[in-house]
Order: sequence, then structure tokens, then C-alpha cells
Amino acid sequence: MNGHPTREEDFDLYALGVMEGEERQAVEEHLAECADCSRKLEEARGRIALLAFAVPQVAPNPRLKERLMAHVGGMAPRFEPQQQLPPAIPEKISIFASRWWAAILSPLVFGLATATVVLWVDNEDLQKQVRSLRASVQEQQNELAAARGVINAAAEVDTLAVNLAPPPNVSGRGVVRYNERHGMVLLNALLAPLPAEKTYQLWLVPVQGNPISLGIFTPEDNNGSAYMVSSVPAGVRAKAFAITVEASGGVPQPTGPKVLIGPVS
Amino acid sequence: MEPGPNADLRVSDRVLVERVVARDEAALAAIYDRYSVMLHSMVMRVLRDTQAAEEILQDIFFQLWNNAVKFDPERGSLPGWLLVSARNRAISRLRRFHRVGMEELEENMVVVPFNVESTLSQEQMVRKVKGAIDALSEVQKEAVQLAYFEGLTHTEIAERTGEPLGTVKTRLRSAIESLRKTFRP
Repeated sequence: MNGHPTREEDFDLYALGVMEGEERQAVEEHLAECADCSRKLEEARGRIALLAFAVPQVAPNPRLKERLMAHVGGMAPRFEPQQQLPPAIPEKISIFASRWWAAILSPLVFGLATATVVLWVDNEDLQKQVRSLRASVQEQQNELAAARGVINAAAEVDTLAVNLAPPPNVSGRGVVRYNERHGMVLLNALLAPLPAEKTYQLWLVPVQGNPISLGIFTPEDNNGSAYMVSSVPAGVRAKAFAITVEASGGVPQPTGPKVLIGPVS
Repeated sequence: MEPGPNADLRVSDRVLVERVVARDEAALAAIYDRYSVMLHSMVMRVLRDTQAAEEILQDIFFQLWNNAVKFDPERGSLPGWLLVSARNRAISRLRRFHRVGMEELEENMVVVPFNVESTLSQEQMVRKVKGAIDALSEVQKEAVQLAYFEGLTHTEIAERTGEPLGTVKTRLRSAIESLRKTFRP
């Protein structure tokens, strides 16, 4: 392609990442030398980026923000108040006058400096409190958003409730709410606690092909209750759901013992 | 759907980015509040793995903290930049590609045709995009989803769906034509 792409959709298809081989190379060579087309590509990237809004909006775990801010806080240079220096005394002033003014001004300067430091510390404390309160409100609203998403999906008429049952001699129970149209899976389970080096992993067993990992989780409290929201890839139909015990961090394909399993009826 | 609350809608993305450049942690937290739900939802859809999605989100915001000075809010959109970066990373991880970092994005600006800074505008965008996707035929919808959420090329989509390559190309092109009409500002 020596000239401009002949059709406007070419920019979107390139941004989507479906072009390949000579077709892709020709677009890239042209973009390198055409500012107009580069601008059109920037707009196409924006349109394609909006496809992200096609999925149910699920808030991340509030602990993620805490971890991020703790990580960032550990690296940010801290603002330190500058040391208050006494004012310089003009050289031409007489010794008598300088001593006289120094006697008056020194306590005043010291007082002002002290007040400045106290106010600065108070201000820092107040700002910390405001940040903490905002973080707290945000966490609560994130949790509310996640809960609303779950309720909305669970209330859909085509959402299936798949009961998960343990094999003999294993305790635990669970329910997966599965909406194929939305590609959403909601898990509620009661399971035994695990040692630190182990994790539970939820699997979707498709009608065809290998099991697909829907994520890892650990019970959130001493009662063993666990909760997880996950997504299912487009075009995949579930035959069953299963939970296995795997090494911490999870595995690409199940290797550990099944603790819960349930067929999609 | 209720995206993360916006800490202060009177503060634009441009100002927040400037404050992040000045190492203001509260500004980074505000950007996180604004866009983490949107990013998390998309990355979860690509990877279907909570831990991996959280790693990518943390990485994205940490990179923003360290590279905000390289972002030009006059030229591009912050949510667009974050979305493209997050999708690149998620697809790279899904397909075991090389890691695509912020270095590439510095030169790859993204212009989003709508403002999605507020909770309300994000809710409207969800309805708009879902409406646009629902208006596509089932086969068009499948092709778009395989491309966007799984990072498949024309040929790979043809292999996955068992359709001729030409059919897939025509299908995607017509789907894009339809989406372009919806995304016209």
C-alpha cells in the first residue's frame, strides 16, 4: 500500500489487531510517513478501546487499591518542611540597635516558626484523614457496585444455578450461578481452609475441549465461605463446573484433587 | 453497573495527570477510582483469572505513576490510553506474546470520541456499547469478541470458527462499519 488506506474501516481493523502479513505491513509503512492517517489511527484506537464497555462491569477487590497505594507510597519522595532559619540582620545596623531588635524579634520569629510547623503538621494530619475517609467510601462503593452486578446477573431469567457437590469423604458445598449470554459466573462455596502453599481453583468444563480456569480463590473467613465472580470466554458452552486444590498461584490445567463438581443440566 | 466513584469530578483527567507527575498519591488514587472498574472488567473478560487481572491492573497504575510525565493529555485520552495498555498486556499474557509496555504507548496515542470521566458517562457508555454489540448479527458479534477479547487475527478467527477467511474478513468489516456509526461523536 503506497497511498492512504482506501477504506476508513481499515484503521479500526488495524487497531483491533486482526490484520496480518503483507496487509498489516503495508498499513504500518504508510502510517510511518502519513500524519493524517496516524491521526485517524489514534481515533480508531479510541473507538476500538470502547469495546471494553461491552462486558459486565465488575469492581476489583478493594484490597488491590490498598496494595497499589502502599507500593506507591513506599516509593514517593516525602515532602519535608524546610528548617526555619533566623532572619539575617542587616550589616549596617548598629550593634545596639541589632541587639535591641534581636531581643524583640527572636521570640516572635521563633513563635511564628513554631506555629508554622504546628499548622503544617495539623494540615498533613487532616489531609491524611480526608484521604483515608475517601478511600473508605470508595471501597464501600466498589463493594456495592460489585454486589449490584452480581444481583443483576443472578436475577436474569437465563441464569442457571449449578449445585456443586463433593466426592465421598470430602466435605463442602457450593453453587455456581452461570449466565452463558453474559459470560458471567458467580461462585458461592463453603470449603475447608487450606495451607498457605495451596489454593482452590474453579474450572469450567466445556462441552468440547479442555477445562478452562475461571480463577483461584481461598475461603475468606474461618467458616470457609468463599465468593468469586468470573467471566467465560465467548462461544464457550459449559458442561460442568469443578473446584480443585492446586499449588498456590494456580495451574493451566487441573492436576489436584476435585473437591466440588456439578454438571450443567 | 456502577464504576468506581469519581473522587472529585471537578478535577479533570489532565489536572490529575499533572498532579501524578508531581508525585501526588491522592491524584493517582482518584484516577484509580475513576477507571479501575472499567479496566478490571475488561481484563477479567480477557484472562478469566482474578489474580492475573489484579496483577495487570496494579502494573498499569504503577507504570502510570512512573511514566505519567510521558503522557500528553492534550493529544490523547487517559482512559483510552489505559484501556489500550491494559488490553495489550492482557492479550500478551493470554497468548504468551512479548510484553507490550508503556514504552510503545508513548508514541501510540488514543483519542476516545466520548468523555468517560464520570460514573454517569461510563454507565451511558456501557448501554451504548452493549446496544451496538446487540445490534450485530450473532456471527459478527462472535468475530468481534474473538478479535477484541482474545486477540485473534483474521486467519485465527477463520480457523477457530471454521469459516472461510474471506467470509471472516467481510463479517468483521461490516461489523466495524456498524460500530463506527455508533461511536460517531
